[in-house]
Amino acid sequence: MKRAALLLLSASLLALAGPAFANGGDDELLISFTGFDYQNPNFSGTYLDLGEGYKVVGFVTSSGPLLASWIDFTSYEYTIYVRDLSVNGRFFTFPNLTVTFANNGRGSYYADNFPVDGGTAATYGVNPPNATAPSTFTDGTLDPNTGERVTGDVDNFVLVYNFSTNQGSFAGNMTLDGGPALIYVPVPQRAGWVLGGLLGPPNATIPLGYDHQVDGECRIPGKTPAAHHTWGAIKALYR
Amino acid sequence: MKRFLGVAAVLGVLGMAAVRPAAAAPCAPLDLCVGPPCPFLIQFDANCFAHETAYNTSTFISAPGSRLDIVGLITQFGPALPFLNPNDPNKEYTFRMTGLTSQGTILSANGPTTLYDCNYDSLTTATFAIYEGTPRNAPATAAAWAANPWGGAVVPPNFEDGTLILSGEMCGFHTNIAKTGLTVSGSFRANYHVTGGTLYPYIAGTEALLGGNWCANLSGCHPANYSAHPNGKFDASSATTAASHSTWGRLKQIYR
Repeated sequence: MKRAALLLLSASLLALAGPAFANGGDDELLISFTGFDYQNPNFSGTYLDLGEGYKVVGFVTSSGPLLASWIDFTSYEYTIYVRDLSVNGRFFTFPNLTVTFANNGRGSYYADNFPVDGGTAATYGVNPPNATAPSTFTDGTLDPNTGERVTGDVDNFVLVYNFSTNQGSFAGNMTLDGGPALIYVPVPQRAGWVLGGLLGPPNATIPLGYDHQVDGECRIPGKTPAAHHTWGAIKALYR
Repeated sequence: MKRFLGVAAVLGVLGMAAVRPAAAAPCAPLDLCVGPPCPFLIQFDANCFAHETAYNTSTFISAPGSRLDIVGLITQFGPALPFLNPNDPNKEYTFRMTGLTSQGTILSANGPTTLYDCNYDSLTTATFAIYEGTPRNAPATAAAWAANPWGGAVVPPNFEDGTLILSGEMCGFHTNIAKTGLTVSGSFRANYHVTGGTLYPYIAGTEALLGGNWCANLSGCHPANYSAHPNGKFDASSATTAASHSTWGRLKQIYR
């Protein structure tokens, strides 16, 4: 009876355990990216005012071990697009800003052919959204290896920015849930995170109308270490 | 004679630049950019980790005087250095940032967020060095990093072997970590300029940004014994023009 209760308790604790940062386990890189962020919709003069939207477009710069065999930088251009993030909380005490967002944002990475193969080069342009952003970051061709490759739901997204040091960051939980390349990510590793560092002005690299330069990563939980055992050895644990 | 004087002047300027003394703080103004956007110069991603001598990974507190070092593998070079291929199976491009001395983490709060800000380089001259090495011997997998803690036989030595292709100074290195509930994020930012290395002439004069994401949380984004996982880039600027290798013969033809 005692053993059964212990088993039940262990099982319920395991079921409750969700992705959390402070879990002490190893996580791993899914993709790394660099790009720029902007507000859309942007109806207020206040940066990321309540109800405004936050978006990031950029390029994939490298991949982790799970996707390394399926990403070919010599044949395709890889891009990212983070969107559908709506401000639902704003805290500002100079120089620090914290912005929280409603759940169900989205993040994806895409592949496109290079222009020589019929694709379109991803182009930031100015004052996004514009004729090339985000459209050239999200398009593909008839090549089945192009278009959206992996997409995920973004929750608990928080952005912070320091207007004195001109830097900030964002983080959110990202649960991968779609795209043809999702099959390469084992189910237990799909509840991960999206992280980014922000560098604002003075920063001459930022195109007109974008807010910050972004360097970030999508990370996922690492494989849970496993070991072979016999039924006898497992039974012995409960005796 | 004119041609000879021109070549001599160029060589003289290059020679002087290679041995010019270290610039002092405060940070010089950043270059403008011919873009947009300005291309990056050097990108580093997954295989980059920081180590501190007096840092608490549970509290994100860096003690005053703590020495920060960063080592990493370069994943991409921008248009100014098109002849370098970080995917060459026989070479690796590594870097080390050092001379970063902590002034101590300052805590503050804003709404639901606790902030951990730290200045690193105002007490000493912070420097970086980038190497081209053969064969590949720096850790490039999670397992290899875990097996090679800072201060061992591999890290940092295997990030400092080979030819020194670029070296320079950093100014204003600052990390910012934010904790909002369970969510932890972070960034780092500094100015940099190149002062030496065999490829110095290709990017001489650049005063640009170095920065990116600074993952300091405990989820496992950095191995034990390391303090954070930076992911970022050295930006290029208008002073960083596209370059290509040439021969003396071709150079002479330009002046004929």
